[in-house]
Amino acid sequence: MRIVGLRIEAFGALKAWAAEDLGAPVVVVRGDNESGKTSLFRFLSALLYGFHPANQEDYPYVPWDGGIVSGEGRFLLADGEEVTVARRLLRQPRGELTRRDRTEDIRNRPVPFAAHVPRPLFEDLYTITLAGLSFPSGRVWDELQDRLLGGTGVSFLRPTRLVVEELEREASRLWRPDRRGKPEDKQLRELFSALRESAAEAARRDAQIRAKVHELEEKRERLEQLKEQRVKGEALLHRANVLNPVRKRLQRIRELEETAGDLQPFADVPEDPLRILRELEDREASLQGQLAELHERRERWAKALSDLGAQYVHVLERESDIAGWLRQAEHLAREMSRLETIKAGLPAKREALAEAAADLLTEPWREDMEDPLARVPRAELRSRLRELAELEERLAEAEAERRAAENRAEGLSQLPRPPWAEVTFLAALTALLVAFSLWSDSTPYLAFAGAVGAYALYRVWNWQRAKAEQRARRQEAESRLVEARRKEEAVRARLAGSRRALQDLFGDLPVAPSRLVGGESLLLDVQAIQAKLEDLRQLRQEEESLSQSLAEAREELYKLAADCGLEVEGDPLALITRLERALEEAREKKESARRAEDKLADLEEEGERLQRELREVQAKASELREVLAELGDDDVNLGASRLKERRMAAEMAEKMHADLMVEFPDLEEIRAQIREMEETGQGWVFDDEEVDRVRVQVTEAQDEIANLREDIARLEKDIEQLKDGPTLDLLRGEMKALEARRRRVWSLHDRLTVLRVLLLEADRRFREEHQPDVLRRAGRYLEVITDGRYDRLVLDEEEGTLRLRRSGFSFTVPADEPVSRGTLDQVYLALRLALVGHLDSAGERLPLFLDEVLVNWDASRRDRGLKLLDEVSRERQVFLFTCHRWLVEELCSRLDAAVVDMPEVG
Amino acid sequence: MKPFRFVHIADVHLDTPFLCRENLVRKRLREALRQAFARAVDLVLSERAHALLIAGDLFDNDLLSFTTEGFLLEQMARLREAGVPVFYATGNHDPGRTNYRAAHIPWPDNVHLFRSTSPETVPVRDAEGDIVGYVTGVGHVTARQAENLAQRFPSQQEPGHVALLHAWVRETSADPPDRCAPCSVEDLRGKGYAYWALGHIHSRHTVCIDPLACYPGNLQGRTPREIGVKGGLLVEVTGRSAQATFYPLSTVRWETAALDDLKEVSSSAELHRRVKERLARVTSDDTAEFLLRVVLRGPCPLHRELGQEDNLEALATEIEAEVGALYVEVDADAILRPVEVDDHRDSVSVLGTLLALIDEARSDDELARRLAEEELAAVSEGEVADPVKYIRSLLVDLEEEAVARMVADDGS
Repeated sequence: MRIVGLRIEAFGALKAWAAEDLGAPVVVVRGDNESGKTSLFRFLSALLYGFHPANQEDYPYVPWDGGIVSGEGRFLLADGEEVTVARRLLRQPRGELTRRDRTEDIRNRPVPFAAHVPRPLFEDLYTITLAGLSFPSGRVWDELQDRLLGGTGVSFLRPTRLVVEELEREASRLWRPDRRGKPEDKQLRELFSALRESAAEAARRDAQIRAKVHELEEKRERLEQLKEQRVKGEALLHRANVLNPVRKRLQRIRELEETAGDLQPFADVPEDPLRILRELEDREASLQGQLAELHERRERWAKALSDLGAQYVHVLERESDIAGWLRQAEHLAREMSRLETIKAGLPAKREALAEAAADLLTEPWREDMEDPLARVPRAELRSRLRELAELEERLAEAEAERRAAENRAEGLSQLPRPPWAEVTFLAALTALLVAFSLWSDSTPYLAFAGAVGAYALYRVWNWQRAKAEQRARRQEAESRLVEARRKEEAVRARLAGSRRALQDLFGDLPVAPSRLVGGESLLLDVQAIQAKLEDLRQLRQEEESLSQSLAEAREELYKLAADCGLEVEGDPLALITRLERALEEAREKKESARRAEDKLADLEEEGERLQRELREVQAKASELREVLAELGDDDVNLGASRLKERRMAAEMAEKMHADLMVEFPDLEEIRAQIREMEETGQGWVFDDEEVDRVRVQVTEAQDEIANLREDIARLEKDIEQLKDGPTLDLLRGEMKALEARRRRVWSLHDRLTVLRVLLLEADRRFREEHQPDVLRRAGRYLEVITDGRYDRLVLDEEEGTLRLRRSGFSFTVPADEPVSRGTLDQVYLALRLALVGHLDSAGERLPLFLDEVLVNWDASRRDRGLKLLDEVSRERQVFLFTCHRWLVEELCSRLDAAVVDMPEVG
Repeated sequence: MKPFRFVHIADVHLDTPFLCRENLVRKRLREALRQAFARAVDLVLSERAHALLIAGDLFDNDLLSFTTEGFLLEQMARLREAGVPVFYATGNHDPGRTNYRAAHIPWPDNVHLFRSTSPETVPVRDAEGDIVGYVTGVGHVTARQAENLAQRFPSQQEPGHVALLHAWVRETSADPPDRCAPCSVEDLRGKGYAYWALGHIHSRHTVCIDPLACYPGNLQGRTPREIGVKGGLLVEVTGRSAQATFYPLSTVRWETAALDDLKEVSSSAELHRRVKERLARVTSDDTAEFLLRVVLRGPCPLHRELGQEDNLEALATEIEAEVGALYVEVDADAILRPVEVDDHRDSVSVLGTLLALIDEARSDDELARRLAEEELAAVSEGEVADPVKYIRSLLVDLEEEAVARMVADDGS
């Protein structure tokens, strides 16, 4: 099989890369390191065997940019047929095989023409790198010999020998036929034995429990028998020792009860009726004496009650009014004091008012001025005064304005004086200068004379202008003066009107005209006078009110005193004090009367009680006499004696019964037993000997019962202790679990053993089938590559190692040191090539990939290597990867080679 | 005739050894079994059944402890107080000959023991003393009662007859042989019984519809294989027809969660998720306490971790806490390293040859026999009756094991 063309859309680092015309026996692939040579080999592997792993997530050659792995290759098969294989890794891997225009869906399956070599073998054996050709040393070589000759030559399979040892080791840890060591099964067996003993112990324990339970039941049965025997004996003893004495005492009680008879009718009769009868009679006499004394005391208290007079009654009737006056006394005193104070203060108030009014009025103060002055409206007064002040101010302004106008007019009355002297001087000077110029004929003097003359003319013109202006200003000032005077008059007229209005506010009051001027003074005085006037009026009003209320109080108080029978005169406060005293006396009288009433009521009640007791005492005495007379056949003393005897009998019977009850709490039961025995006719005569014998029997039974109870308690305890131990079912369960574990151990052991035996058998078969062919092929390759120095490779069956035969010699040497390193490398290459040749001998020859294999060889070795490649390429296509151009050229010159350039790095 | 109502239970196996590593769990199971039996008695009383029928294997003969015997008699006494008779036919685990335990237990007088192979018919009366039905039973005399006991049952003409039998009823010719009083479905037909109360098979199922013949299953699963809720049947016989209703009685049940598609499970978190997902299906249908066996099988990237006992115990503890199981056991014996067996099959390598050889051993008796001649533990310990069959059982998934061992860990 040869690869004739490749087209890669995307595969690892390779994108949109194609190579055609690859059908040569040798294809030299030239490219730098990292240019994608490994990717190319993996792409070819994928074309032949599909994608592994077969998903986008895990496949290592998915482009980094997330493109889809895809490509195809054309193959020329040994029979001359050309096929095309296309692979694409989508969510599911896809594959198509096209041959003779027929396309087959192969999904991810290997192509049929490569299926005879498994993928792992292809990927491991069909690529040889420079490093992979280095002959290993020591122990590694031993392992490799196992692989190359005894196994497969592939690196991913572990040597059979190692696996066999491992299986044997693991199996021995589980179980050993020779019972040596401490395999897991042995440990489990020991545990099992211990458990078996525990189970036997548990079985024995259960048997013991059953035996002890049986013994326990027997003892309980015996215990019941003894209890019954004891009960019978105790019953006899009970009859002799308890029932008979009780029966006798009960009989005595019955006799006493018969003597006592029915005492119920005399239950109310006292213990000593005669003494009681005497006491009743004494009591009757005493009560009658007490009643007489009570009557006398009642008379005395009735008299005390009648002593309360009519006057006190009236005072008490008005008690609340008097109390009211007592509460008002202090208030009344304050009002009287206040009235005196007001009366004393009024003249001073009037005098102050007159004094204040004197500043305002032109006449002395009279009381008829009070109302007009009080009625002066202060708000209007304030308004008028403000208006007046404003007018006065405006008048002052108008006067000032008028005076200013007068002054101005007066100032403008004189016209400006004419500058005649100055003009004259200037004219003279001008004439003098003209003359001098004319004399001296000097033009400058003439010019100067002209200037002076001009100035004199200017001065005359200026004076005329000022005079005209003066006249105009004077006319204006005079008109202003007229206006100012008119304004002043108008203000004066309004001021006079305002003063009149102000005077009207005071009505007829003779207000001093000097006070009718603007400002606050008048208003403040009026306010002060009005305040004093108000104060005076209030005092007068209070005086009047207090006088009236005191008069009413006095009248009312006098009436109360008259009602209470007191003399009506003097100070009201003294009268109140007298009323208070009268009330206290009346209260005392009333309390005395109430006490007299209470005492009388008590005496009445006491009298009733004494009467009632007297009747009861008389009734009791009569009743007692009747009962005793009946008992004693009309003899009271005899009756009392008989009653005493009967009561003593009853008391004795009751005491005997109580003693029995204390002594025999179960007396009723005993009585029932006695009745039962009497009804069954059992006798009450007991033989002492028989009683003693029974007593001994009961004692012995009790002793045995005690012993049995101890035995039973011990047995119960033993049984409980025995029950505490592990039970047979639990132990058997554990044993079963152990048995299961042992069976599992056996199964694991046997499985490992079977696998080991089968592996040894497989190894033997494999060697028999494949080893000779591999060695034959390797020998041939070795002969080529060593240029005939060595011609054969053989296996030492005993040692399991390779040996070399030198051409022309019959002996062999070990394929190991001291044979030269270079020769050993060649041996190794020959073996690798032989394995490849052996593997696909039954089908298509798959291409071989060599990566920089020849680059480090010297010229002679490389020459022999090229000869070997030439031979190998006759049966299979060889891909040589290199980055060296000189090697490319050498290969092309020596071999029938096509060259493929990998994409440049970067 | 009034309807004849009774409760049918079988294979109680009191004091049976429970196959579990943990002693506490075994104790709990023993307690649960007693609870289940007490609940069966409760069911009889609450449903006012006329009788309790026990179709053999009430206890494991030599394992019955004195304490459990006391418990058993207490429960029988409860029924006696209520005037309910108990019909108990002995089975192969509690045979009736005098040298076995059943004959020596001081049964109260309401217990009728069928411990002879000769059929005996006993009338059943209700509280008023009227006959409501008949129970005909035979018992196993020995632990190896190999004869067909069903054939011994007499034909009945009257309606209301119930047969009580501990036997293996072969339903199809494909059923494996069993030496416990084997019989066929045909043996049950045509004898005039309205209902066959059977015992011996631990899984509940109906053997025959006409006449109705049922195995109620055992009261409490004994091993991880006996999964699900267990209980008894409340049967009502009217004339010649019968109707059976299942009542769950077990308080603890066994469940198994098997996971065999673990190729993609490469982390413990993912393994947890898978286990929980599987457990949701196991545990969502019942609220009773349960014991769980998690079986992990097949290739799994976590094969190394799952090969360590500590990790398995930790996993079991975590699952126990998550699902509230009474006990969890994780079995990862069948976990394999993920390998591609097909990549190596037919390859020119020792491994290819080995795979072919394993395949050959499955069909080549001679090769299997040669393998059995090796020092095999199970054979040496006398556990194997048929070495060839045993060897074949060892070959299951052996290809994966072979590839896993032969291919270096970093190989494909």
